[in-house]
Amino acid sequence: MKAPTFRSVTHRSVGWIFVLVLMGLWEIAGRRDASGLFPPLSEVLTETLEVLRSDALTNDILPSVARALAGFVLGSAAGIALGVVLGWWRALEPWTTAPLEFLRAVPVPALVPLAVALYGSTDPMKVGIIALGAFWPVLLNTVDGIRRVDPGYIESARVYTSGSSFSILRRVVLPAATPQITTGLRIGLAISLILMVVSEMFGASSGLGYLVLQSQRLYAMTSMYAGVVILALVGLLLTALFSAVEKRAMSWFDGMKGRTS
Amino acid sequence: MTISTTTSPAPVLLSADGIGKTYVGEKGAQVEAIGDVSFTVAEGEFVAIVGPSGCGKTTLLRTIAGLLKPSRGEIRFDDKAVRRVPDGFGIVFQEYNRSLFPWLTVRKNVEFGLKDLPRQLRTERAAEALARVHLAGVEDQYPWQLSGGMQQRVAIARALATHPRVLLMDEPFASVDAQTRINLELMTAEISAELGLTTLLITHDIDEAIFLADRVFVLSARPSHVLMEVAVDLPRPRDELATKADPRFLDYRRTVYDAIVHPTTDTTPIATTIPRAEVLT
Ligand SMILES: Nc1ncnc2c1ncn2[C@@H]1O[C@H](COP(=O)(O)OP(=O)(O)OP(=O)(O)O)[C@@H](O)[C@H]1O
Ligand SMILES: [Mg+2]
Repeated sequence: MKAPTFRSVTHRSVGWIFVLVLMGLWEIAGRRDASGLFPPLSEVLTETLEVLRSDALTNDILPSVARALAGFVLGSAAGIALGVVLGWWRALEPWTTAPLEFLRAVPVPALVPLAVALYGSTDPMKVGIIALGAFWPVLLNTVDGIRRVDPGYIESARVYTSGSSFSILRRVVLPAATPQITTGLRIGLAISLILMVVSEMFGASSGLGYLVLQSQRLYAMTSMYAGVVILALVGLLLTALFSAVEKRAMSWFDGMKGRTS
Repeated sequence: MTISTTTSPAPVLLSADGIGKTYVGEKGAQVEAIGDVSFTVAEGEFVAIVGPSGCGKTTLLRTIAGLLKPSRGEIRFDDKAVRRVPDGFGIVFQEYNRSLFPWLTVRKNVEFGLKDLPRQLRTERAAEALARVHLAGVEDQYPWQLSGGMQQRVAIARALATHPRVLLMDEPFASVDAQTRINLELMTAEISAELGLTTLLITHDIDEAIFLADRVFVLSARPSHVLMEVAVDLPRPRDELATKADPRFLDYRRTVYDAIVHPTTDTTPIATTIPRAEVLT
């Protein structure tokens, strides 16, 4: 509710001015480049608009985004569900620590060639890979967030919920752990977008990742850059959407932090 | 020794019988927090337990509340052994910032224990409880937006909203400034009297204990046992100036202070009722 101060306004505009300077440099460098590997920004942007107006929007871009979202939602849901179980029922800890340490050490992108070999370049394969990528950060943050809930909250909950473990979990532990679960979701979203691209680079015939790779193969540098720009836009859009939801759900947490720090 | 005539005739509602608690650390290190504590609280009575810092007061409260299993002895409430938090307990914890829920507004915090009631009744109960603690107009704020004293009022309102039979408080006013503390003490006395509420206050503050209670149990340093039981015969309603200037108040205060500062070398727990006459001589 604070009015933006002069400082905060200049602070933000400095960032935008810097972006403009970089864009200008790109334009100049692109015009001087003779190799064709580095087209000027204006051409890239024109090409970007063209791609967005073409049928690539419905054939490649939107399906990619849909797969990323589906994978993110599935992986996050699984991560939260398992994370709550492992975080709340501490008796499971000795059984699960070692397997989890081992499994999380496997980089998910390295599994993509294997997944393509096993299941082909299918939608379920791609969604599955994205889900697996989102799963880990959400799981680990959920477990940690739940274990770190202040015991004081739990004692209050035991007094005022007639002691039922499930309602303590639902009414107190989950809300108290929300800030950290959200951190996990934010990381999971970023990983989903990366895996969206990676999962379309092996044996695929459509999608944003395919578009970028195919342009590179055809030596269509401007389209390749346009693909990268579209990827960046998709990332910006989804992150902004996430932030908007986060801001509403977590206003209490930001407010409290603002007060105590 | 004269037999006390000040003991309340009301039936015992809550009792601790030979309570002891020894914490066992991860490496087997043991901390004996409570040695041997017994006391009773009669229906409608205001009892204070006063003890030096670190003597196991919070441990005792958690044990009484059924939040912690004692190593020895038994807590009884309404003639039943306490094994988990009984219905009818309202509890105000020492650290309000770890006990109120920061993601809920004041109203939602106060309604927290009323889950099973219809919405209309919840709203009424919360409003009534907030009025009792003299909080109005902050229902839609979050606890962390309020001062410490106000937060502790919210915690008291949360307990009152459940219409408890027993109000348990663990050093509820330890971390607020002196003036706020006096206001909260007066408010507590008023609420307790108006509702006829059985109240157990745990504190390290001798004045606070005597000022508020009908009976005071004095605990020793860790491992704690009851050094002394004092029946406080001071008129109610108590007044910040008049009561604290009453010579009897000063006598009680000296008695309790002596007991804590110069505990007898004999550590057998003796519950001594000091009749008024004896204190005055
Ligand atoms: N969970 C625990 N595990 C091990 N030791 C504990 C635990 N809780 C408390 N203790 C120890 O038991 C003793 C009594 O602690 P307790 O918090 O009950 O005292 P207190 O009288 O409430 O102290 P304060 O005046 O600081 O509120 C202390 O020595 C403390 O370190
Ligand atoms: Mg304490």
